[in-house]
Amino acid sequence: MERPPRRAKADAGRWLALACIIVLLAPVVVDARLEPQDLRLPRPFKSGDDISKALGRQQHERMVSVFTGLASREVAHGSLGEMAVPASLDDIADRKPDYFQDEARPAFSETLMRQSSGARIVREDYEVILTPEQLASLDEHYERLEFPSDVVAFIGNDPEDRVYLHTDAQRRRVYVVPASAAERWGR
Amino acid sequence: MIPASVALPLIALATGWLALFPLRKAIGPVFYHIAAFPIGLLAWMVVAALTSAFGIPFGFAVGVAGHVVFVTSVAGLALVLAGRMREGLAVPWWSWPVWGAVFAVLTRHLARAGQTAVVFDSFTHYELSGIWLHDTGLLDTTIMSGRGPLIPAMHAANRLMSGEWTYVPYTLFAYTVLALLAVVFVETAFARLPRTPRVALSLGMVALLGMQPAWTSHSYLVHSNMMSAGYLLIAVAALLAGGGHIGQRRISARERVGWWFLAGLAAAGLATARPDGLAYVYALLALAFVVHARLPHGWRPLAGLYGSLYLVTALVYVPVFATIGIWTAHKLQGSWVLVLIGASALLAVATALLPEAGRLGDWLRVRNNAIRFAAAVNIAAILPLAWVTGERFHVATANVIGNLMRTGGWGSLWYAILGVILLSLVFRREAAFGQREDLILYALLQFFAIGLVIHGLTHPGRLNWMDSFNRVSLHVLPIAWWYVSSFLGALLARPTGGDEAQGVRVIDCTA
Repeated sequence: MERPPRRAKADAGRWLALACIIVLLAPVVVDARLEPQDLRLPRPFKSGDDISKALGRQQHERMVSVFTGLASREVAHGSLGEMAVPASLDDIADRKPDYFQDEARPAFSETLMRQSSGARIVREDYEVILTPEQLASLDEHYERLEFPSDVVAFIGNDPEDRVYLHTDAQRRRVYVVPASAAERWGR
Repeated sequence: MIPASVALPLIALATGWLALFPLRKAIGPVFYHIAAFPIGLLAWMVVAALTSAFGIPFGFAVGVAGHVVFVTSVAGLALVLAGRMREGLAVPWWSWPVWGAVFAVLTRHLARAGQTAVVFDSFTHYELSGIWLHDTGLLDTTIMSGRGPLIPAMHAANRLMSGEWTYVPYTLFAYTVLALLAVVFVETAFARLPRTPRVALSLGMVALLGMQPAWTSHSYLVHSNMMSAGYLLIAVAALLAGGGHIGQRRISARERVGWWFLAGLAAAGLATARPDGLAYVYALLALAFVVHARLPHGWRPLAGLYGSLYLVTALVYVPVFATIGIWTAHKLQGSWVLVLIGASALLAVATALLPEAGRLGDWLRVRNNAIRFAAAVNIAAILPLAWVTGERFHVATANVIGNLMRTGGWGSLWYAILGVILLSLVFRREAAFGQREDLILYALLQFFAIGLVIHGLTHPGRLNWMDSFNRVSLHVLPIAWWYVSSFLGALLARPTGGDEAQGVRVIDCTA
């Protein structure tokens, strides 16, 4: 029996639409073979429950603020009470800023240091650059722990509630120094 | 000892089971189990609200207290509004251990695989905020204005359980979305096909989405977008199910309340996962208006939707306002939160009253007139806004189109979606769509309209995958894919479509 013309037209329309959908979805099927990095998207990697591994690949200059805070937590054996910093954060060490849409963002960020350490940030006037003798003394009395972004923590047997941020003569490394050590230098 | 990566999701699952228990028969075993983990995570916000109010850090005792408050409040309100459910779908006793085992195995696998994806926001917005919140207990201005309380609370919870990096929940949300999509595809998009092609096409379309590079990246990315996509899909599906648009079974008035209560909880998740989340909730509230306009009236389903939404947001925002006041900030101001919540109350009143308003109400009850009404309101609101904001609005529009089509890392995905949408408008008669597909398309377009308003008013963004509006497009991608699959399914099915084929049936809602 011949199909009514209207039904035949509707079927033709359905098949045409289906053909168009297949054409539209074909590139999507091809895209399924791509990896995220092929489209410049973040690529998954293995970090597990290790924050240093998770963050270690980040290239931002401001990572120094994050790792300074995390290093402080190691010195505190947990969360920190106070982090003493110089009056100008740029005095901590020489680091380039990050640029976001042509706007410079300083490497040392009080917000990032506060959040990553859980501490109050306190501005103080003190000598930031450590002498070789002071560094040797720290190595003798404390355990040195290295972090990415050239951050070093000096960790004692007892938790510390306060730390000072220092650098060396080259003004590259950031040293997180327990207050108990700094007090021996007359602070 | 169970690692934090496993313990956190399992605790959320158990919490969700308890909170949703009064609704289990209304929403059925599948939605009940799938929604449990995302809904259970909301409890950590209540913990954060308590630590903030009392000025104490995260701890075991306050963690338990927050969960007790959340479960008793949510389950209690559900019982008040929906009552003890005798009708609905039974949840077999064995479904709990089976689902729990599957979830635990998947969680452990993801924890051991250890996969994550990280951008600057991942730690500045979320992990560091989580560290701060864990140590101080304070939902401060930085968190409330720039992050939203939910994700920092989740990261703080991970820290409480001795975790260092929160990564598993994000991938679990991706699986949640894919699982829910598979369910709704079987129940809706391909429902008119015989069993084998129905299941095969449902799984095939879900797999095709899951294999897209953008989806893969976001499945591991420590950010708000996949979680928001999960909450949005749960809410849209629950709203449509409560309107009788999913499944062939007649649902009762009580069941509709249960569905819309779930939608409100998911809306609360969407609202608190990002600072702009409160604005995107309006896409859901507008969808509720449109669905409600055509159904028998009664106040309880709307009370379910708004009640659960306001309950969860109040449990968080009231203590925060009491602690830090009505904050001012660069991003979300405290005053805007109050305005948005207040305006939603006006929308609730409009939703309840307009369908009763004489000839206007009669007109709204005609198929798609409520959508036309909503579209007219959008046009009347957005075009003057575009004219006033001028350049910024145009740039925002150009950027979102440019990102979706070229620079946003989507490949050919949004080309295909746009093409299918246009095809569906040209071949409407051949597809024989019912109202459900119109509602899905409306939800998709309403979401983008809100996004244009947000970005036209605030920041127009940039041509880059990291652009906020570009990433926000992920939230609605499952909805868009649902529409694409629905059109495909409609064309493949025998042409007997329309509302009758979708079996839209809701028994009297005036109880």
